[in-house]
Amino acid sequence: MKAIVACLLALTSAAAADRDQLGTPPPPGPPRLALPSSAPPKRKPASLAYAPEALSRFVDALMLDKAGDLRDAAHMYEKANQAGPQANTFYNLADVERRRERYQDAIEAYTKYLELAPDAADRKEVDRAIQTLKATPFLAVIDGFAPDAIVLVDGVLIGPSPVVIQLASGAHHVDRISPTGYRGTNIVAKPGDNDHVVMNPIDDDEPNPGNVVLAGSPAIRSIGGWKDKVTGVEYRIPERFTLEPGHYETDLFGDRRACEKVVFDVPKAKGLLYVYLDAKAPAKPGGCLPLKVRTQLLEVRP
Amino acid sequence: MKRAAWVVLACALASAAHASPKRKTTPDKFTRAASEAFIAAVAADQKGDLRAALGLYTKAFAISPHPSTAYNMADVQLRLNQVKEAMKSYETYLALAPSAPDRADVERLLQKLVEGPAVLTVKTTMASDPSSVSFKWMYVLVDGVIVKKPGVAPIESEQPRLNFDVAPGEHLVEVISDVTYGRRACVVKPAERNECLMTAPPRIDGTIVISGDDRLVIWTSPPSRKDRSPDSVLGKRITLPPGKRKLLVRDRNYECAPILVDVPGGSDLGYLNVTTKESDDLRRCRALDIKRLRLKFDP
Repeated sequence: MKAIVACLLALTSAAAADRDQLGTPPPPGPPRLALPSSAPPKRKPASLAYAPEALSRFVDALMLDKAGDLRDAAHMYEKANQAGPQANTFYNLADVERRRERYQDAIEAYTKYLELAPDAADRKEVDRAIQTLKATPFLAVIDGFAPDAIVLVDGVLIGPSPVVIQLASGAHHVDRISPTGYRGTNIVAKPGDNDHVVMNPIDDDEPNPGNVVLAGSPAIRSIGGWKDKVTGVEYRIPERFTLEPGHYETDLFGDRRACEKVVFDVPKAKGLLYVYLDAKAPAKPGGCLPLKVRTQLLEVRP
Repeated sequence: MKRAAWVVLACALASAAHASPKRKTTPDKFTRAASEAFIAAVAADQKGDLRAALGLYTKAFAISPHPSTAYNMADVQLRLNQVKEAMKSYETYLALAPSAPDRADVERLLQKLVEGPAVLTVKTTMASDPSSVSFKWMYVLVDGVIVKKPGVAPIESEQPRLNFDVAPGEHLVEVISDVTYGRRACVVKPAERNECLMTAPPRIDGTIVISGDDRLVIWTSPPSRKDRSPDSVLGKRITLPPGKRKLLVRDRNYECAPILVDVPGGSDLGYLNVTTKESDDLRRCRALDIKRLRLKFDP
């Protein structure tokens, strides 16, 4: 788990500084991350080899690019290439797509540049740029409509919603908890990709002020609930529900699929108990699920 | 004006007619035609016939593009006050001659043309229009910055007006008095007379003006069962109770951190302006530039 947590790098939004002192205080966040898109622009010039139409489009694109109108700039570079494909136009298009965070499009344009200019002096540098873009970690934007929510990823509190975070490749569990709502889901991160994860409560009409959230790793592979055979307590995962203060012990899904029991204490203190079942895939097919139960008391208030 | 490159070429062409074909390469027909048009353009320019010069430079460039032609076109376009066209020609010059020794000078000139200043004239309609505004008792804001306070009289004429130096581009102009509010996005072009006609309903009540980028949505309360898509209060003067209030912000489909405002009581008016300079392409709430003001009006 530590390895995964170390790979979670949140971006602290500039707007976060404006967060309401009355609401949920942001936890200390990881450092701001430099994305490939944030590197300064790198543009190449035209040449006398450009056809007049291609040159005119190229200059239009350059001006749009300098003015910060990146979408129209990309479109105009494409039009320049339609009028007469040129290596430098593909290079500039790639650079614009990089700044637009369209990394796959940037990789395609860089590749085309290298095809048209196989002896380019900066070939190694462009190859490196392609590799960097291919390896860019998955970028997730996690937000929702219920205000004053907090976001946890793989059981770790990241901060107030919205959260922009880079995730290591693989499956992750995401929770968004508002003062009277909850949503948990699994997402799969692929390098160079991104996703907007909108997390609204399943039924946003019904307030859910439950004092316990039970969530777990994607390795658990099941959602739903069970009734403990001994105590009769009903559990649901991933879910928010109400439990009386006290000591709880149960088998995950009421059977022996987990190697360890789910054990936690619901305190009398105010707050929301977050119980995260940190599970790893069984060592052998059909084996039990190694489980660690991690709990934390959260404060989620408007 | 840049003459050297093409003039040297033209001289070479002239002498080529008398030289041995074994020692001189024959220039292609396009280069020859372009150089002839270029020389004619220089002559027209020197005579002060700028329109003819521009036509000939354009012809020369269309036959065979050359950085010097682009530069001279830009120079003539600037003198003809065709600023936008001149900027494109200077950019073409830089694109074709990236190592030009005067690159820094041209870039400085381009920057100057981009940044202006240009003059924005803010006017209102005739007094016969109930929506005309009385500038004297109003705040005028450009892009969320106060450029005129109440009490400062405008230039008097049949239609009172105010002049401001601004950078070329689109600007949000707002007029705010103790009883009303008006806003308009006005485009300012370099080296042109730019007029922005401001009007406002005779009366709009409210304790705070919420302003900024129209691509943002600002709510005073989240969507609910009763109101699935509440109206955005951006661009409006609304009434909120005095004290600290939380506003919910969305940038296109993305949630942003809420914004806290201090709504004044009494005769003062709160003002919030939220904009972003980041690209539309970023798939998340962009970094927001937030300005808060407290506008005071004499009771």
